[in-house]
Parts: sequence; C-alpha cells; structure tokens
Amino acid sequence: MKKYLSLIILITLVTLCAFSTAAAELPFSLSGDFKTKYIYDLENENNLDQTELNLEIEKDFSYTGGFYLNLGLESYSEYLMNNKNRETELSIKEGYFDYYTENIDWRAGKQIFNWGSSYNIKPSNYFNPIDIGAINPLENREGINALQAKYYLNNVQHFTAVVGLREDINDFQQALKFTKRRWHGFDFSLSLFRGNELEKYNQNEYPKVTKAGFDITGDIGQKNIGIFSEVVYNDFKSPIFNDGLETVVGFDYKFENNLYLLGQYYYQKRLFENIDDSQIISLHAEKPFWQFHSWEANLLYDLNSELIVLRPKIIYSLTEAMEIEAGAVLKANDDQRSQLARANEELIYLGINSYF
Amino acid sequence: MKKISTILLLGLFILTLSFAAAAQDLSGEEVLTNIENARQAETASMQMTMELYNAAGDMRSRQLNSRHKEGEVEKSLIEFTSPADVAGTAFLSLEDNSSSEEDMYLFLPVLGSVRKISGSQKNGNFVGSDLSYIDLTVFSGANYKDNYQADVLDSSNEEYLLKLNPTDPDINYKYGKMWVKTDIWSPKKVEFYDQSEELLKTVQLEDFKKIDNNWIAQKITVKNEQKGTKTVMKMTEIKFNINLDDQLFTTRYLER
Repeated sequence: MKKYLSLIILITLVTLCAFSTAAAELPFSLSGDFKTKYIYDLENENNLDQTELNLEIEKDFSYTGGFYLNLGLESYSEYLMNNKNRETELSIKEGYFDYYTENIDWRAGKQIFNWGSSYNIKPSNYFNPIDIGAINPLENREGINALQAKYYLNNVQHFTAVVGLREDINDFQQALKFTKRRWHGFDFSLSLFRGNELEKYNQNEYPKVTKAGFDITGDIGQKNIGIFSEVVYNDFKSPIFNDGLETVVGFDYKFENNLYLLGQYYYQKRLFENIDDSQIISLHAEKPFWQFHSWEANLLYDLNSELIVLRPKIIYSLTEAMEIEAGAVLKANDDQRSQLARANEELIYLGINSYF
Repeated sequence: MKKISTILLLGLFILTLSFAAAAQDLSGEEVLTNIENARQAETASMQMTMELYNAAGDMRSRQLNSRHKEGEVEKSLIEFTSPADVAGTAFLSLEDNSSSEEDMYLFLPVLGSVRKISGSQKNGNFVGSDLSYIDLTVFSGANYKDNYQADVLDSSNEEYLLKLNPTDPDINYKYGKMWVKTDIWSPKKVEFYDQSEELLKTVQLEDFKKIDNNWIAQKITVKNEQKGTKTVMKMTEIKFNINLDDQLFTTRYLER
C-alpha cells in the first residue's frame, strides 16, 4: 500500500492542479507527461510494464533567473530470481536554481549536461551516467548535483565551469569548457575534465581520469550536409587502464521528402590489453508519414563483435499531445561480452504517451 | 471653338492613355520592389496559430511566437507555445547578409540545451506543415526579391500576374505564379509548380490589415494540391518596428 501511496498523492495533486480554475493563476508553470508501456522481454520471455509520470515545475524571472524542477514517479515491474516484483520510485530527475548576472549564468542543483554534438554516444558527455533501466539507455541520462557557471565574453564565445558530485561516487567531478559559435559556419568547443569514468570497470571501480576534448559541428557543401566530430583523450590515473583516444565522426542530412538521415562512427582505444579497440557505427533515420505521425529506426553495428542492434519505432498521433508509441530492440550476432549487447536487451513494446 | 475643344479632348485622352500605360508598365522586379516597400518594418513580432490538416480533414494545431529583426545580420526567433509536446521548442536563425552564411540553432526542452542544426533542416516541410522553411520566411517577411525573379504575365489596374522564377538554389519549385493587388501591393494568391510543372501548392492570402504602416495578410492558407493537405496560418498580436533586444536572438537566451 505504501508503494502506491505516493503515486495516489501525486496523481491527486496533478489532477487538482490541472482542473482547478486556480491553476491558471499559479505563480509558476506546470507541465509534464504521462507514459505507460507494456513490454515483452524477448530474451527471457517475460511480460513487463513501465509507467512514468513526470511533473515539470518552472518559474522564469526573465533576465534575473528562475527555477526548474522535474519530479518523476515511476512504477515498473521487474524479474528477480524468476519472481516478478513491482517497484515504485519517486525521484527528482532535475531540480535547480538559475541566477543571471550581466556576463555569468549560474545554475545550482541536480542537472543533466548535454555536452557533445554526436548522436547518443557522446565522448564529451562527462557527467551524466546513462539510465540503464530505460528502454533506450543512450537516450536517457541521470542528473547529478552540480554548480555550473557560464561566463559570456560576448554572444559567440563563452566559458563553462562545472563542479559536480555524483550520487554513486563520493568524489568531485570538475570541468572547464570554452565554446565558440559561428566561426566560419561552425561551432566548436575545447574542454578539460577531471573526475571518474561513468562506467564501472575492474572490481566495481569507476576509474579516475583526466579528459581533454574537442568538439565541432557545422555544414559543408552546397547541399549543407551537417558534419560533427568529438575527440577526447583519456588519461587514466591507474596504470591498469590504457590512455588513449575516444572519437566520433558523423554527418546528418534532411531531404526534401522530410527523410532525416544520420550516420556516425565511434572509436575508443581499448582500455585493457586483452580486448579490442571499440568501433561502433550508428545509423539513424526518421520520417513523418500521413502528416501527423512518424517512424524512426536506429541501427548500431559493433565492428569487432559484429553485433547488430536494431531499434525501430513508430509514433502514431491520436490527438493533440497524445500518441501511441510502438517499438522494438532486436539483436543479431548477440555477444554478451559486448557492453553494447548488455545495454540493449531484446524486447518489443507498446505504449501511450500523453503530454500536458 | 470647336477645334480647340477637340484638341483639348484629344490631349486629355492621350494624357489618360499615357497614365494608364505608365501604371501598367511596371516590370516584374518593380512589382516585387513595391511589395517589399509595402512592408518596411525593421522588426516584427507575431503570435501565430498554425492549423495542420491531413487529407482526411483531421486537424492538429500549433501556436507559436515569431520575432524578426533586420540588420547586417538578419535574426529570426520562433518559439512554440503549444501543444504540450512541442511547447518550449525554439528555432534561432542568424543570417549574415555580407557573407550569406546562415547559422541555425534548435532548442529542445527534453535536451535542455541548444544544438546547432545543419542548413539541410530547411529542406522539406516546416514542422509538419505544408510550408517549407523558405516559404515561411518569404511570406512573413515579404522579401520575394531575395529568392525570386519575376516576369509580368498580365496586368490590369487592380492586379498584376507574375511568373516567379526561383533564384535561390534551395527552392525546389520549378516556378510560381503570383497575383498581386495593386491597391496595397500585396500578393493575394500564389501557385507553386513542381519540377514536372504540375501544380503543387496554392497559397491564399486574406484578411489584409495595415499595422504600423505595413500591410500584412492575417490569414494565409497553403494547400498541397497533390496530397490534399492544408495548413492555415492565422496571425494575431502583430507588431512592427518595436524595440527587440539583440539579446533575444542569442543562444544564451535560448538556453534560459
């Protein structure tokens, strides 16, 4: 009963806010989404479900600052030792205060940084671990408590400094980034990070690392083909891990018939001597159909293990701000030694998303 | 006396003919110039409702704010305010007139950050509507001369019929036809033809209003004649030549 109590309270609160005439006079804006999914785990032949309610509370004080809170209430089923359990979690996904001065924008609180111009696999994303419980972990990141300051030299150049503390590690993560926009049609940034890797390695360790990164994005040619690249050099404190490059090179293009294509190549020098360098090709395509609906497909190909992960998805609009989502995660040449394989379990799902 | 009257009448007749001829003597470029001059605003701010209709007649609605500022760098900011699944999405376009370089940025609330997007994003339709990105900038800014060359097909005292030939390589139409009202120098109807010279789109401009000395159509209907879809744009809260802070058109503002 306790598990459902917070769910009941939150739904009651949202309903009251949404339908109350006083809602129009709230001193902040209230929005969010409600998503529910039925999932069939193809690998273990299990039925699962995920229901998520996200509430976003936001207040903007114009040129002075503001605050933002993203509360998530999630109820999901999972299998442990062949027993089906239900978990309910109430969490703050993001919650921060903004304060703006003439040249500096400050942000303090739990936040997600979206560094890096690549698609999903981002070497420059230093701070936020992927949400392994999500259907698409690469598209979902977990927030960390941090203080961020952006110092604007002018409208096209700024420095960003971040000091963060991850919940899973009692250690500070720090970074400094310089960004220049509109440089001959390109945006680029240089970054330096000191902290811990986002993934666990030997004996449950998050290795200490210093990273130096470069990121660039822009157009080339008369057809304005988008290109992007991230290059990060990892310098590990422990001699167990190999120092080396992690890089992404990619392109994207939207056709006249609204087909959007993206392709990228990811490389990471092997962390240990007894494994191969990581090389992954990502392809993404999406296109609207029948005016209001869309399909998309993602393909990941591991060049070493020859593992293929295919993620097709259809979004069918029912009415304004309500849609059906159906998709799957399919694998070929599955190799459980591959991190990519472990992060992508085969499944099919059907869900409804509602936005308010 | 009779002779003088005849001469006077003849003179008046010739004068009338010459005036009439002068009014109908404008070239296509001159007509486009008149259209541009009828909208001379340095800044513009509009609230817009965009109704999207599929071939079955089902409708989806988008509400957005559009702000535009002329200058050495032409600046445009479009922000979606509803429905909930797109609210908060914003596009920023900065076009340097001296170098013709255009930088476009997208802010998606779900990402919480600004992303530079490639120029190819202007291809295809603007957010699921029947307008291309270029259509939207041309109709809202009335800057046809930047994108088209025009020849006069027909003319009368009330209107001109122009043939529009694209000069912008990003425009995918073979040509267009535009009916222009001479009283307010504004297009009232435009037809666009595809590369096979088949009619692709029809644009109707209606509900003309003069705001701050600028004529604007408050309702624009775009029909895709081949797919049977339609987009209706209704402009409300239109303001011209207001003070728009340059800071509005920055990635810093987008990220806030």
